[in-house]
Amino acid sequence: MRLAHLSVLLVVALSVSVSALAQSRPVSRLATVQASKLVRVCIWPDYYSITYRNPKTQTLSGVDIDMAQALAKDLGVAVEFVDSSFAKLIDDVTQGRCDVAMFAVGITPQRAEKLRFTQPHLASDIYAVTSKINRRIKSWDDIDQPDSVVAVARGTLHEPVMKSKLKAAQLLVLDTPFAREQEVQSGRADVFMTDYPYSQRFMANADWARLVAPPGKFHITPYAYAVTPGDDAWHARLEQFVSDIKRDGRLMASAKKYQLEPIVAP
Amino acid sequence: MNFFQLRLPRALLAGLLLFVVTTLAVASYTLWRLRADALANGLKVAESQAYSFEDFLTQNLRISELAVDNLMAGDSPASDRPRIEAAFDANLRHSPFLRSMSLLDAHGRILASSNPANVGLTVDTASYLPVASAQQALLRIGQPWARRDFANGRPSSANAPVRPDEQSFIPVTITRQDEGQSVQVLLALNPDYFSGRLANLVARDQGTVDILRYDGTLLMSTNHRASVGVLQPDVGRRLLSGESESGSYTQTDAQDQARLIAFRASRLYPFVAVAQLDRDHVLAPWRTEVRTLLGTLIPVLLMLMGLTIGFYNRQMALLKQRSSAEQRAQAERVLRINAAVFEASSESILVTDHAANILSVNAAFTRMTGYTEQDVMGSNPRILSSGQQDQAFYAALWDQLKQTGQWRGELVNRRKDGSLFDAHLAISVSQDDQGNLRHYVGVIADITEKKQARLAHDEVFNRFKKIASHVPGVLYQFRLRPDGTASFPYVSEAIGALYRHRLSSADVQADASPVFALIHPDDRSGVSASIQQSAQQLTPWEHEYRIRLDGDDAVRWLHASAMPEREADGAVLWHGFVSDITQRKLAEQKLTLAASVFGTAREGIMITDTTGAIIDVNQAFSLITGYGHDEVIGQNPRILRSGRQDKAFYAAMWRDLHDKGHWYGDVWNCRKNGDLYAEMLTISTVSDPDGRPQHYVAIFSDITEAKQHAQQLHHVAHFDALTNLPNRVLLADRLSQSMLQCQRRGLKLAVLFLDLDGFKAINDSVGHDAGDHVLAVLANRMKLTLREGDTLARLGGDEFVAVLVDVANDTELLPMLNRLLGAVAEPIVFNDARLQVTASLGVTFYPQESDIDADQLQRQADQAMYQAKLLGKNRFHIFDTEHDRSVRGHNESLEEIREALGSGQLTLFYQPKVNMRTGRLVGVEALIRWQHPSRGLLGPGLFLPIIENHPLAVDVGEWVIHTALDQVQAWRAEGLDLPVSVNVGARQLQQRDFLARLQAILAQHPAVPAGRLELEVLETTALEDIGGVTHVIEQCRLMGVLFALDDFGTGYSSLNYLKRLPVARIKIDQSFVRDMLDDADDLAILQGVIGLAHAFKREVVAEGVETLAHGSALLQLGCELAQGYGIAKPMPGSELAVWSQRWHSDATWLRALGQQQAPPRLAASMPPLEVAS
Repeated sequence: MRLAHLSVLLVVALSVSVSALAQSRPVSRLATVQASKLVRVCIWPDYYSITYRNPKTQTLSGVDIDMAQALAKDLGVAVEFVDSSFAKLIDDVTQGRCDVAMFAVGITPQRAEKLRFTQPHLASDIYAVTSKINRRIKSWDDIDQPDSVVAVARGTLHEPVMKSKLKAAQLLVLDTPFAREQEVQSGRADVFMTDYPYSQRFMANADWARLVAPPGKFHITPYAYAVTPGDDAWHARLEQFVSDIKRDGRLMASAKKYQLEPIVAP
Repeated sequence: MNFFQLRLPRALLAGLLLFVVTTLAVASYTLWRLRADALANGLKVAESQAYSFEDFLTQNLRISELAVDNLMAGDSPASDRPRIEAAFDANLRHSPFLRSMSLLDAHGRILASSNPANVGLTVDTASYLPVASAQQALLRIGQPWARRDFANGRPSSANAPVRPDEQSFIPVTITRQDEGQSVQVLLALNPDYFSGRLANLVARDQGTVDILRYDGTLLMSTNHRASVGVLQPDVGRRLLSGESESGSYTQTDAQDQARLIAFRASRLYPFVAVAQLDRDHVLAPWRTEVRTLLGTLIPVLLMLMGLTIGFYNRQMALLKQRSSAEQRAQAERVLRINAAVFEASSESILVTDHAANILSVNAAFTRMTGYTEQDVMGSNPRILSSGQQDQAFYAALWDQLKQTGQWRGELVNRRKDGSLFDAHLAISVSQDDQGNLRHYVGVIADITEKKQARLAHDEVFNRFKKIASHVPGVLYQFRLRPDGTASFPYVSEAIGALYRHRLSSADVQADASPVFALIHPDDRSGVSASIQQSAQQLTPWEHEYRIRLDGDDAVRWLHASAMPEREADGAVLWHGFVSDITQRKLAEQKLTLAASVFGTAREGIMITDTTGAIIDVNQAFSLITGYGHDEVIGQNPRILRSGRQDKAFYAAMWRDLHDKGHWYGDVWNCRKNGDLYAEMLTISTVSDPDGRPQHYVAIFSDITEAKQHAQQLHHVAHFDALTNLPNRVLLADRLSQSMLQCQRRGLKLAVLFLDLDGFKAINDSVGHDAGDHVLAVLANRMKLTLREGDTLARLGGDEFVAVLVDVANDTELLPMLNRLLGAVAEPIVFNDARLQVTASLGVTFYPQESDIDADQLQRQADQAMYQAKLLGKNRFHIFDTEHDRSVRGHNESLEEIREALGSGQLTLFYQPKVNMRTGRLVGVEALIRWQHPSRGLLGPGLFLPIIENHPLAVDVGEWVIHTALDQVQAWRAEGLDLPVSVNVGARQLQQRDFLARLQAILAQHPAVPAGRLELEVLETTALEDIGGVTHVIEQCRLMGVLFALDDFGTGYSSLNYLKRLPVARIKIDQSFVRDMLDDADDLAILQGVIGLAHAFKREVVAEGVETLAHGSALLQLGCELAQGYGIAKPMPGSELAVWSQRWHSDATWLRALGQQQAPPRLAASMPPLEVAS
């Protein structure tokens, strides 16, 4: 009985000290999240197997949807998903429209300058998707040829990678939803570049498309969660979370569900 | 064995072959059908592919058109390039089948485009199809271009198509009118979208789908080796010729590759989808099936054949092994047995070689013939020949031996010692395995004794059989065993005839029950009982009983008798005889019946011998005559004579008896007590078979009462009951006779018609009794005034007619007339009252200048009387014949009537006849009318007398029957089923072919039963030719048509006539009915007639019923049927149904009459009976 009184006192004392801290320094997102009992997660709803919103049912699915819900559970709060994209990613995170971006954000030098990443939970190479009927693209080497048109989504890691890698082909950067697929299907572009999760899920549904995989490793990019820099407590909590899901198998279980176990990061 | 080995495998092989061939045929047919199905399915698949691709492309082009329409709908001017391009971009986002969209100016220069690189280019769209027509909203398709878009593209041509490895697109223009300006949008259609889609559905090796422009230019293809832009002229030709918009066919190309081709043109745009399927590919699954089926079927068939043949061979081998061993053992056994039999046989056996030389004989042979084996070895069996059989016998023997291999028969043989013996010989031929004749084997039995015994037995048996079959009746043995069962060990063949071949001796040999079953059930127990009695006491059995068979004379009487004897086992055996005594029995029965008729008949019967001596009389004889049986036996019937018949009567009677064998008639005889009686007597001669009279039989019934009744009726019918003066009937008779006499003797007669003046006043003021008294007194006075020989008659009421004969001249008559007037005018005292009347007299004379009949004479006198009344009464007036002639002469001519018949002026009216008691409508009388064009509707009295003695009467009569039957038919159709009666005139009835013509008329109305027609004949007509009319009535009754006697009472009907006329119905003349309430005479006549009708079982119908009072009186008299104005007037046929309903619903009559007591039961409801003559 007496012990119970003691622990109650201790909790009260701790909370008083935290609120005292907050007043003197910028408040950590961790505290905000816990105070509001809500974590806001940025997602890209076009991202197959990662954060995909089914246009028909409007339900969300994917590894990072599962993980965001796991995070909310770990924190003991509710989750709110905020629509974002790779083009808007940095603004959305840094300007606080969400607490964390959880949609397999590729760690690129450009992003690393603006954002702070957790340790990677996935890592994917780059893949090309062309139409089955395309006469020119037979293999990976046919992509970077004169007259070829290669489509990428604006803001994705593929944009800078392809920009630097393509020598002969024309690069088409697109920023409307599903624009890459439309360009390839209509024949205005020959291929579009994407990663493993997207290509896997996409190929399962599009009967007109053909996957062109690189012969060896082309450019493997680690994927992680991104937060705004400078909030060590929040970052630490997320690092802790990523370690937890890797350790306790929640990540692997969810990856298996979406056939992504080949790209789960160690 | 050989036979089986040879034949069975052949049959087996044929069966197996048939099985294999049938199986293969069925399999081939199935495969052939499957192949046809596969090809048909292939064509269907090609058709559906062509359809779905055409539809897919058409839909997408339509979407493009709609997109362009949307674009135009916005209010962006053509110059607003960024806005247009944004719209293009937005469109492309959801249209993967479009590569770019561009806006063209009038010269084909690209003003704006989703692909900025295209802007400024000029595209030549002149060759696009369909050819542009001014101001028209149109989608046109151009030659495909190589590469990605117009900016870096190259248009292809038929000669320079797009290379298979090159990207391509199809230019399409969509033209729209926008505010008077023509706007043209240029699309780059992405063929990969379609061919990719198509390739997904059509496996590459299975076939291809091409999209061609209408002129045959290949726009796109699932075949990745195809060069778009080339011309495929054959399909283009088909389409351009307008042959068909879709279809399918099979084509073999240059590489001898057969293809199933289906094409379908777009319903909106100038292209066609062509699906081609490789036939080999289509048939591939079928080929697999063929291989599988044959691969299974053929080994199975081969295996089945192998197994069958193997199994059969094994069975045969086993069978062969087993049988050859058994055969050997069997052969040895048989040889041993044969040898033993040969020697031990009691019959002689001899064996010869094929040439009939004896090889061996047995011991019995030696015993029988005396020859030893050594004697006969090598000899021919001919040594036994007796010579009693001729050559033909032996020829037949050898003939049969050769044909059948054996012979059997009897013959006489000779022993070694020369004696003869009867032998039974059986010869058979023995052959070796190859069928060659090796031996003859003869077996001889000595049958001499057997043959003699048989001859003796046969003789006895034949004799018995002859006796049994020639004796009339049936001989039999009957055995009754202690257990109750019985049999007929012997029954002679006559049993068949006795029982109409329902039984034969064989049927009852073991079991007697069939015989007992046929005994009449009523006699069965009697037969059994008498047999039992005979069995117990062993007394002779004798019985008469009936048997029952099928057929006309089903029951037969039998007489049977038999003598019993007891057998060792307790059974009783009878030997007896039975015969048919049916004829005797029937004769006995007839005698019994005749005796009972004789005894119980109500008619008196008297039998005399030829001398007239009475032999027998019956009981009725005694009742009628008063003489007892014993009193008259031996007497002559003369004792009954009354003396009323004269000698001539009896002489005529005996003459008839002698000539015709019978006599009948009415005789007055005398009873024992002296009373006279009338009898209706029939005497018949009973002759022996040679025609010699043996007896006379007299049968008679007492008709005294009927005679008296008739006499009374005769008086009533001819005399007025009140005054005892002749009535109108007798008057008519007397007048006619007097007129006849006048003609004959050249005399003159006068007819006086007398009517009392003021008589009614006496009736009204003093009463009917006074009136009756006055009439009686005046009648007497007037009678006294007249001379002997004159006739005074009362017509009825206060009307009298006198016929004065032998009148010299008018003046001589005047005193007589005055005396008459004076006699009437004398006062009369009645109950102290002094009564006085006068008379008005009308007079006419006969003969006159013109021919005149009795009726007319009376009418003339009547008219003259009327004049006397007019002139002041109590006077006479003499008829002025001169004046009358000018008034008459109005005769309708025959011709006019003939014309009336021809032109339909004649018509029938119908007067209902009803049952006054029940109210039922029982029939109608058809009455003829003449719808005269100028004189209106005329009754029959005005025209029928004119044709009475003319053949036209027959035509009119037949027309009436026809028309009446037509009407009955019409009524029946309305649901009114009524008999109709039709009057038949004398002339018509006397036609020789009257019956045939009547039958013909009836035949023309098959829907009307003959019983619905009734013919009415006047009493007077019937009496004119009673024999002929009776015959006609009889014949009509056979047809179903009945007769009624009309106007009954006006003729001289005597009892005899009425009795002889077989009419069903009597109609009482209306004159009697009309006056019945006032006139006692008429009432008496009615009573008499109705009574008479009842006595003779005739229906009575009263005519002229005018009031309820008439009806009521008639019912009291027992007359229920009536017709008259009081019930209904004659009416057209069409009105009858309505009247009938009203009559039934009205029922005033019934109510009025129903208050009276129920009348006696009427003969009216009874069927008419035949009246014996």
